[in-house]
Amino acid sequence: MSDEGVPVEDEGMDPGLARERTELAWNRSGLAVAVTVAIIVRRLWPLSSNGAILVLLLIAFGAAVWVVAMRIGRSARDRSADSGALAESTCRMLTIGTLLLAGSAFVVGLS
Amino acid sequence: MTGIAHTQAIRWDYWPRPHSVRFPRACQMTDGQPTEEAEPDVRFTYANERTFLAWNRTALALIATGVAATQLLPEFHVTGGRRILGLPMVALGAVVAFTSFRHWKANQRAMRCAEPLPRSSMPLVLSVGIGVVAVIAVVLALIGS
Repeated sequence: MSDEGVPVEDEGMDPGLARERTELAWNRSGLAVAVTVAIIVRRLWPLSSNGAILVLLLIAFGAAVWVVAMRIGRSARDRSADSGALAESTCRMLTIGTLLLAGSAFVVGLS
Repeated sequence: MTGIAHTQAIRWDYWPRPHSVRFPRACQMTDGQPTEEAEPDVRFTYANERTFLAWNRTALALIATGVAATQLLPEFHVTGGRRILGLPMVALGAVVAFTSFRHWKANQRAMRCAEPLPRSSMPLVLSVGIGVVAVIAVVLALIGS
C-alpha cells in the first residue's frame, strides 16, 4: 500500500491469475485425455482381434506421449519462470498424442 | 512448492524481454530487414498456451464423440450410417489438433516479433465441420423415419 492509500502492484503478483488458470487448463486437458481413452477402451474391450491390439497400442502410445509431454511442459515452465513459454517440442508431442488417439478412434470406428 | 509460491518468481512486466533460445528464428520486417526478437509478456504466452490446450480439448471431445457415434447409436436404415456420422468427427478432431499446433506456433512467433497475430481459419473449419455432421445426422434420421 502506498502513502496515499492506493494499492501498489507488487512485482511478484499475478493480478489475472494467469499461471493458475493455465494450470487448471492443463488439468482439464488431462481429464479430457482420460475420458477419451476410457471411451475408446470401453468400446474395444474384450480384445478379439489383431486390430484391437493395434488400437490398444495406439491408445497406450498416445496416452503415454500426453503424460510425458505434460510432465516436461510443467517442469520446464517451473525451471524457466522468467520466460514462461512452452517448448515447441512439447506442443508437438501433445499434438502427436492427440493424433495417435484420433488414429485409434478411427480404427475402432472402422471395426 | 505451491502454485502461489511459483508466481512470485515471475516478473509481470508489460514490456518485451531479451532474446530466448526457444524460438531462435530471426524476425523479418515487411521490407525484409531482420529485427530483434523479444520474449513477450508471460501473460500473453500463457494465454496462447491455454488457447492451444482448449483447441486440443475440442479435438479430444470430437474424437470421443465420433467413437460414441460409431459404437453407441442404434443402427440406421442406411448401411454404415453410424460410420458416416462418426468418422468425419474423428477426422475433424485430428485436423483441429494439427491446426492448433501450427496456430500456437504462429501466434508465439508473431508475439515474439511484435507483429499482429495471424488470422485463424480454425473457427470456420470447426463450424463448417460440425454443420456438415449435423446435416448428415438429419439426413440419416429422415431416411430412417
